[in-house]
Amino acid sequence: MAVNRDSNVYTIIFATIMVVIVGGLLAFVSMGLKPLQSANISNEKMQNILQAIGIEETDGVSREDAGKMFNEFIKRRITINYNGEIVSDKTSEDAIDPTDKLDAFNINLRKEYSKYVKPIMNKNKGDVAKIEEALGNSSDIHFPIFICEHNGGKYYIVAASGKGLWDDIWGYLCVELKGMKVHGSVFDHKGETPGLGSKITEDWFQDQFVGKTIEENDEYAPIKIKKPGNELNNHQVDGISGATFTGVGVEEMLKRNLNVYYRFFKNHPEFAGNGSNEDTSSNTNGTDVLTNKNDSNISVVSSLPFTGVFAEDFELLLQNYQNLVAGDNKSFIIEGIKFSAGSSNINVKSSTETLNRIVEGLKVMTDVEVELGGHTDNMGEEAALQTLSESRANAVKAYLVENGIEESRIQAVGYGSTVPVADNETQEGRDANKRTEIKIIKNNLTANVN
Amino acid sequence: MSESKSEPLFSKKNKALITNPLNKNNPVTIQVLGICSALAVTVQMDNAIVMSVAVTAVLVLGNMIVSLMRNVIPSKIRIIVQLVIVAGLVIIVDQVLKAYVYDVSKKLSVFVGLIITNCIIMGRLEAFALGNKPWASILDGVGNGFGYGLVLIIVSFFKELFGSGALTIPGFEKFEIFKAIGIYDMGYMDNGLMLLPPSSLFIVGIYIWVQKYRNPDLIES
Repeated sequence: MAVNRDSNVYTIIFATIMVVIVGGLLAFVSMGLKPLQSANISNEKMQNILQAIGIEETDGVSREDAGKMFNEFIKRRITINYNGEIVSDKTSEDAIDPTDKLDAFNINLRKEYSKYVKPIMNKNKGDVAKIEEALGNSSDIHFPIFICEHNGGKYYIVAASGKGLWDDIWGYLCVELKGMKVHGSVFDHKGETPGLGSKITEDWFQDQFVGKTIEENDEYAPIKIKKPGNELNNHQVDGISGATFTGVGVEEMLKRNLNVYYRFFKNHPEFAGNGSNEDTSSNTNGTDVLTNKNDSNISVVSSLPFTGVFAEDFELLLQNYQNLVAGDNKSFIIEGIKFSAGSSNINVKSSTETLNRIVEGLKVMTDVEVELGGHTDNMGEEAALQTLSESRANAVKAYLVENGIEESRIQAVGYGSTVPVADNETQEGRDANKRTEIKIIKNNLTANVN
Repeated sequence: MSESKSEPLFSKKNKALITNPLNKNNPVTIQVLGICSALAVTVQMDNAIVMSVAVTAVLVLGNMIVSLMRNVIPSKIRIIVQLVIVAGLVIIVDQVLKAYVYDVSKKLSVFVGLIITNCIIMGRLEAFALGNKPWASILDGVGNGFGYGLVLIIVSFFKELFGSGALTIPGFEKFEIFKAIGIYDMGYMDNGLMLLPPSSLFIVGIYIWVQKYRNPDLIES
């Protein structure tokens, strides 16, 4: 070629053409992929919000499904400002309009923090009163609340954003208004250290928040991140070793944001009561066991209509345990725990799933104490049967304790063959009588009611 | 590819382009390129694997494009041209990941940007692609990408195993190996140092030692 590749003219022309081509290509790719990317981001947000609820139906929901399920679960979207005034209130009937910046769903948590909150905090470094005043005066700062209604229960999902070690962190927490307890949580980050700070997105870290409360003696009590290995009370969770600063960031973020929500819920008693304004009795079962006490704002379940099917009963129990009064309700049979014949060795293969389900359940129902009852058929000496039923109940208890349930919450009782549920004359009847039962004997949540 | 008609696609020389970087001419341990990301992204195996794949992809494409353009790139601004090509490629890769495989793009997050600064890529473009035909350049990209990935995966294997007692491989559940074989019951505790960047240097150092011990040619006099 006759072109002189070292000449300045050639160099300039080459550079110009290259810039135009590369620039055009990037712009084209960016424009073309934008809709797909926005859909991904919006679906991920829905996924985060749904996962934060902490109910089984939305646990581990995929990104694609989240987009479809969001309106089914999230019935109301509210936006409040720092002073707790409602600035936007939408229901699931109102479509999410991407241009409506006040819609709770459109609130960009990261932008809220980095654009509006951080400058105020930096300007008034350390002066808490001044920061609060400036935050209160800002008309840009907003806090979303998502209200999920499911099986008669109401769950409030709130958001938080702050700074980790390297970049922004944010998350959603689901709060039950009764006792201000955390029901679920989800955290995310932009650029925390891979494998260390980024572990805030892992289940074990997020699950720790479940059951913690942000209230103590009717006052706001922030959740603290402790160094791993310390004793924890119900306002503290384990931090991540090697990620102290990310932990500090999470703690600061939760403290600042949850305080706003706490004040809001305290000043808006109409939200309290976990859906007690509605008649929950007509909801799932059609039976009249759920009584509604409007005056105390607490609906109390005296007993549950157990169907005898363990999976269903246990679900029902989990959904309603907060309002369940101990003592009145029947114990129910745990189907699926099998023992070796004549011994208290649990048949691991066929029983683990059921046992783990109970472990999970008891971890959710932290305020509940239960009795495990062992029962046998009548084939043998009464004394031996009594011993066998006791040791079987104890074996189940041992499994639960081994898997993290406090020993003090479980009583193991052997009933021998004294409480048959079926005819001991037939093989089927005897099989049915060999069983383990579970019963709530104390419920700290409803101990003062009735 | 008309240029490679004269010799078979996988001639001995071309094969060496792939195999050399795996050992004798490894980009990390011998050329000492790309050390920075070998320190940063080796805490978990899955990150290391995804990073290796991403670097290989960018390296192969970058090598190919630069090689195709090698006769028209003005030598005065060749580094800038390479930079623009790599940056453009990385941005396109990033955009495509975000649109079609969002989860992978989240996993890579900051590393995508790191690919641009990975010295292996600029190093291979400058040292090889500018002076060789496209097919040879592609093979060189594959070889160096794999050589880089090999070291990353070996380093992350030891770091994650001794630092977290587990191994994460994309597409699988996390393997809690130490828990499974009961090493914790024997009194072992996860080594926090293994999670920090310096431990990568130790492992790369041991790797170089073993490599040079087995291959005395590599020892400089």
